[in-house]
Amino acid sequence: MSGASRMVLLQAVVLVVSLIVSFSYTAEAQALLQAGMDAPPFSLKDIEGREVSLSGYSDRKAVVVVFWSTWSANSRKALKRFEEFYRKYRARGIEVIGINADRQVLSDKDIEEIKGFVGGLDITFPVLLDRGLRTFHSYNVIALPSTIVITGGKIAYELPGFPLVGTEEMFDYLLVLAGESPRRKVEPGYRPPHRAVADTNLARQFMRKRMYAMARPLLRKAIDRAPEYMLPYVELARVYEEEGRGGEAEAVLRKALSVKPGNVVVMTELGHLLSKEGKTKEALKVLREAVKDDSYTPAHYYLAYALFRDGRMKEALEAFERAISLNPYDTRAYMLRAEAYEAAGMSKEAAADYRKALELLLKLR
Amino acid sequence: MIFPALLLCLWALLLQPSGAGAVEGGRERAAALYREAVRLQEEGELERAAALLRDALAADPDYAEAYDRLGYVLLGKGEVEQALRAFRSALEINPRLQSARTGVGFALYRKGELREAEEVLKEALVLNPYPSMTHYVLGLVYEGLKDYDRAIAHYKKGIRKLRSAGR
Repeated sequence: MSGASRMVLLQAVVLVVSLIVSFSYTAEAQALLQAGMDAPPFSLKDIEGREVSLSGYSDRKAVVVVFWSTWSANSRKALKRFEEFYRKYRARGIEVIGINADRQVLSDKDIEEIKGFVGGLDITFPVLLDRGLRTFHSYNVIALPSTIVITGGKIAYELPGFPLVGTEEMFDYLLVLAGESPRRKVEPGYRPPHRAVADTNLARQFMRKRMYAMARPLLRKAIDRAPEYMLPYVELARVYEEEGRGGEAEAVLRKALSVKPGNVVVMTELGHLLSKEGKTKEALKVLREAVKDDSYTPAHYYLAYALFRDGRMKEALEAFERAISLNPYDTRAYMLRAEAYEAAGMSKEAAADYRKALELLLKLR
Repeated sequence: MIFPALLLCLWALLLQPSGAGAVEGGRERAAALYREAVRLQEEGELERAAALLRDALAADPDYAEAYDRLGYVLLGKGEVEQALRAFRSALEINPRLQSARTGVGFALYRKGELREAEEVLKEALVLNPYPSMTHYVLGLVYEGLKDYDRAIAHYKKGIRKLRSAGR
């Protein structure tokens, strides 16, 4: 082989390796915590009043569930892109379902507006109405739009928002599922072993009942079984925090980040913990990194809260606005902003935000 | 003298099982209608929810919770006077139904009678097993009165109660 050929080959190898590395890194940053879990079943009416159930698509290779709203700027882009994909790949066993999350309570006028929006985009896949937002909450959606890919009844991939890089990676993943060659090399997504998922789920049930002593060993076992599975780290840190063991919570989150340095959820949890412990500068550094992909709502409101703690109210309010525009159904965003307003002596604004938070909890909005 | 009384007792005993059965059947039907109405209300289908609640009340006219729920559905539809009547009917049947008392306060707030609403809502907080809604409406009243600190205090209490109840 000549020197020039060797150089070309070397460049090609470097290119392929760098593509794989870049895919792995951003995929990790995007990947949230629900992969491997059972997809919550749902049965909702479509915009024409027909009942559509997830179980009705059990014979498909994959079901892509897109949560969207008429008021989120990226939902229009997402629906158009999925319509294009659906027309091309439906016959290959990939189903697309749009779930509208415009409001908790939908009036007839709202439904007409949704129909008009869908008609304007010429959408042919089923568009369902999530009255009461039960399905939205059961999937722990944290931004609109959000996409969940379900294979074999389990959550295989999730993408909050519709970010530039993450979106292309998700479509590469869907192309592979459809039997096409991806536009670049795609590594199989991480799937935690069943036992680790089961232990984590059981621990979460104990946590809901505040039985932290029962939850702790299960979460530690899940981490030992599957060190790359991020959810048990996050939950264990929450247990420690509830027990007032902030130092141990921080250590667990740092350990998780040593395994997956780009994980946006872990970064967010760590950033908020540091902020509460008064380590504001360090918190801001971690949270600024977490908001870079602009799709994980809690990263935005915890950054906002850290900015407020640092005395930067104007920047804090901007970050709160961003969080609420991504997901207006997250009670925490309103609670934290209310706290900031209250501390700043802005009682009227604080009252309005506490009201919104309580309305969400009472399911009045 | 004793004979007619005995006959009357016998007649009452003979009638009782089928009468009680009819009442029980009516209650069961009313309860089923009520459950469906709650689901419809949560989904925003207020017209249908109101119709089912009226059917439930036709099947069981002493169903205080159905009057109470109907009040909230009517409030959602903006029919404040009718809502007020429904809440008062609920309280006539069960004066301890604090949800209906909260409803009266909510309706008065919607009518702009803020001081009257405040009084009723304070009463509704007494021995109230689910006070978050009452705190919410009191918060609205104090916001209306521009007493934002009190509004904040009630909203926070409402949130805390829900959280401690695991929601």
